[in-house]
Amino acid sequence: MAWLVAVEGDLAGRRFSLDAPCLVGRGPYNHVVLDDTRVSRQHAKVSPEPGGHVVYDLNSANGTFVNDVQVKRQKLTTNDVVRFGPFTFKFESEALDRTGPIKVGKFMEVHTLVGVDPPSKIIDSLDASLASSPGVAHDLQELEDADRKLRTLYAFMQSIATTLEQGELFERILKNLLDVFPAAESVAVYLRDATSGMMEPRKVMRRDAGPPSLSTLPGLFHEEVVQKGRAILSAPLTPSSKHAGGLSMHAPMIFGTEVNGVLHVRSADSSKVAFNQSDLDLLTGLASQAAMALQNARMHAESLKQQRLQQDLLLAEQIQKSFLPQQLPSVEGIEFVTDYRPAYSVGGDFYDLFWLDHERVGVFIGDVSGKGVSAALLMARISSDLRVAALAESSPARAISRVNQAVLERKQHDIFVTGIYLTLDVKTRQMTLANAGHLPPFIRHKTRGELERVEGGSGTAIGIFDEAIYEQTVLQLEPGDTLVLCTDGVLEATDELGEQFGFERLELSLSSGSSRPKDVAERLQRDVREHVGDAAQYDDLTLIVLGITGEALAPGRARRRDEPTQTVKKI
Amino acid sequence: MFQFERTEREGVTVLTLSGNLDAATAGGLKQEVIALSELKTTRVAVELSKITLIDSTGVGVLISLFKRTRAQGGQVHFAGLTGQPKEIFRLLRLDRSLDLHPTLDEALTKLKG
Repeated sequence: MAWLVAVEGDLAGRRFSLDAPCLVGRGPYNHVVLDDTRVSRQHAKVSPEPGGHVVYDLNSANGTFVNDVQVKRQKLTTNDVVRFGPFTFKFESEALDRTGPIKVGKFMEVHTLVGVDPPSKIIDSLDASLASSPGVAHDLQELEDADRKLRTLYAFMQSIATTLEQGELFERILKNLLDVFPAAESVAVYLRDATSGMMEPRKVMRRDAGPPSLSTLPGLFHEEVVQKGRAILSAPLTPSSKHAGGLSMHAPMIFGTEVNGVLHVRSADSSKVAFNQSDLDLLTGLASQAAMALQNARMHAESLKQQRLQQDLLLAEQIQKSFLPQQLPSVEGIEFVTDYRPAYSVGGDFYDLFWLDHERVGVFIGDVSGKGVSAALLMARISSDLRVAALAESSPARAISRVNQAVLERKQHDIFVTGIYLTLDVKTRQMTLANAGHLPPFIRHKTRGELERVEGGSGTAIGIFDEAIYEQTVLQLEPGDTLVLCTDGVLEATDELGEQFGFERLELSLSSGSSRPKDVAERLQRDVREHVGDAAQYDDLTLIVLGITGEALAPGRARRRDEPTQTVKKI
Repeated sequence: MFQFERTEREGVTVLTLSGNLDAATAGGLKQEVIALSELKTTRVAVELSKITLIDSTGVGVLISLFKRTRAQGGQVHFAGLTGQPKEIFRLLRLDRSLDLHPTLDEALTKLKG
C-alpha cells in the first residue's frame, strides 16, 4: 500500500491511494485533479511497479520534482517529497515501518502517527463498497460525490421548502427523486398511519407513469428503517457480487427522534446494480430534508386548523350570545340581576328571562353537560325549544317535559341538560317552578330571616328518559325576599388544593350581608373568586338573582314597565 | 387518576370504574361505551364504589352508556355509588330513574333475573 499525501494548500492532509496507476493533472479525468494553470492537463503518472512506485513526468510544461530535483522518471522511496507545479505531496508506503530510524521533526511526527494506523478507514470502506474499478483514487470520487450531494441536497431543499401544502410537497419530493436517481423506476413516500402505526404509501410515482402499486411497508423494512432508523440498500445482484449495491433503497424521514415517514426508490432493471452506498447516503440526506419540510407543512396545517377552530368558536360565541336575553324584563318592585361567565369563550350554561303575557315572566337557567362548541350549539337549540314550549304550555313542568322530548329526538347520547324553569306572576309574586336535575334554587326570606333550599318540583335532568315525569312547586315570594338560581359551576368552583366551593360556602355567602339582588350576586362572585384563587376557571358560572324590592308596594300593584311588543324574541 | 376494567360475569358485562371520572379522564371510557354499543351488549353492570369524584362530562358518559344500551333493548344497572358521585346522582335526580344498587352482587342478581 502506498499513498500520495498532500502537504500544502486546500488539499493538505488528503491521501490518494497509489495501489493502481494514478494520473495527476488539471484535466477532470485524472485521479488526482489539480486545478491550477501551472499544472498540465495531463501532468504525471505514479505507477506501482515490481521494484516499487515510480513517478513519470508526462511532458508537463512546468515539470515534476522529487526532493526538489526535476525528474522524468524516478523511483520513489518513503518520505520523498513530490511536487507537480505548485502542489507538494509526500510519498508514503507501508514499508515505512521497516525503514529504520525516522528523522526528527514536526512533519515526521505527523507522519509517524499516520504510519501507526496505515490505511484510512474511509478508503478501506470505499474500496469494499464502491462499484468502481479497483485502483481509482477514491478520495477524488468521494470529493465529487460530496459536491454532487451538496448541490443535489441544496436544489432539493429549494424545491420542497417553498410549499406548505402536503400533497404538493409529496409531488415535489418524488419528482426530485426521479431526477436525482436516473436508475429509479418508481419512487414512493410512506407516512405513518395514525391509528395502525404502520407506514402506509402516501404517494407513489413511476417514471413510465404506469399504475403505481400501493402497499404497506413490509415488516422487514419497517423494523430496520422505521424502528432502527437505518437507511437500507436491498436486493443485491448476486450473493457473490463483490460490489455492494442494490435495486432498491429505503431511507427513514427522521424529525427529532421520530421516524415520521420513509422514502423509497426502486429500479426496474434487475440485471444490473442500480444504486450504491453513495446513492443511499444521498437518499438519506434527502429524506432528512423531506422530514423537515413535512414537519413544517404539518405545523402549518395545524395552525390553519387552529385558526378555523378559533373562527368556529367565535361564531358559536356569537350565536350563543344572541340567544341570551339582550334586555331583562323590567318590572316595578322586582329587580333582576344576571351574571354569566363561561369558562371558555363559549359555554354550556345559559339562561333566559322573557315575558309570557302581561303578568307573567318566564325565567330559565340551564347547563348543558360538556363544554365547547357542541354544548353551546345544543344550548342555542334548547333555548329556542324552551321558548316554544313556554308559550305553548303555561305549566312549567309540562314545558320542561316538551323540551325533554325535543332533546331526546335529537339522539345526542352523551349530552344531557339540567335546568330550572319558573314562571313568576309579577302581581301576586307567586312563582311556579320545575327543576330538571338542576342545583336547587335558594330563597332568602326576609321575614322568616332564613335561607331556604327549594327541593320541591324536582325531576330528572333533560335528555335522559323518554318517560321522565316532571313536577312543579308553587312558592309565594314576599317583599324583601331574594331568589337565587345558579349553575353548578358555583358549587364546583375548585381551589388549588382541589377543594370545591360547595353548599356550605354557597349558603353562607347567600345568607350574609345585604339581600339586595345586586349585592347578593356581587358577594357570591367575590366569594367564589376568593375561594378559587389562582386556579383556572374550569366550569361555566351563571347566576340569576331576583329580588322583590318594592317593600312599600301593595301586592297586586307591580306592573310591567317595558313594551309588550318584545314578548317573543326573534329566534 | 381514572381507570376502568371490563369483565364478563355470568353473562353480564361488568364495568368497574375507579378514580376521578371527569372531562380530563373520560375519553377512554367514552370509547369503551361506543365499543360496547357496537357489540350490542344488552346487560351491563357498572361498579362505581371506587369512583371518588365525577363531573358532568363523567355523568354524560354514564348516561350515554345507559341511553345506547336501552336503545338496543338492553339494560344498565349501577352499583356502589357513594360520596360525591352519589350526591351528583341525587342532584340530577338520576337516583329516581336509574337502577341503583348498593352492591355489585345486587345489581347482578337484578340483571340475571
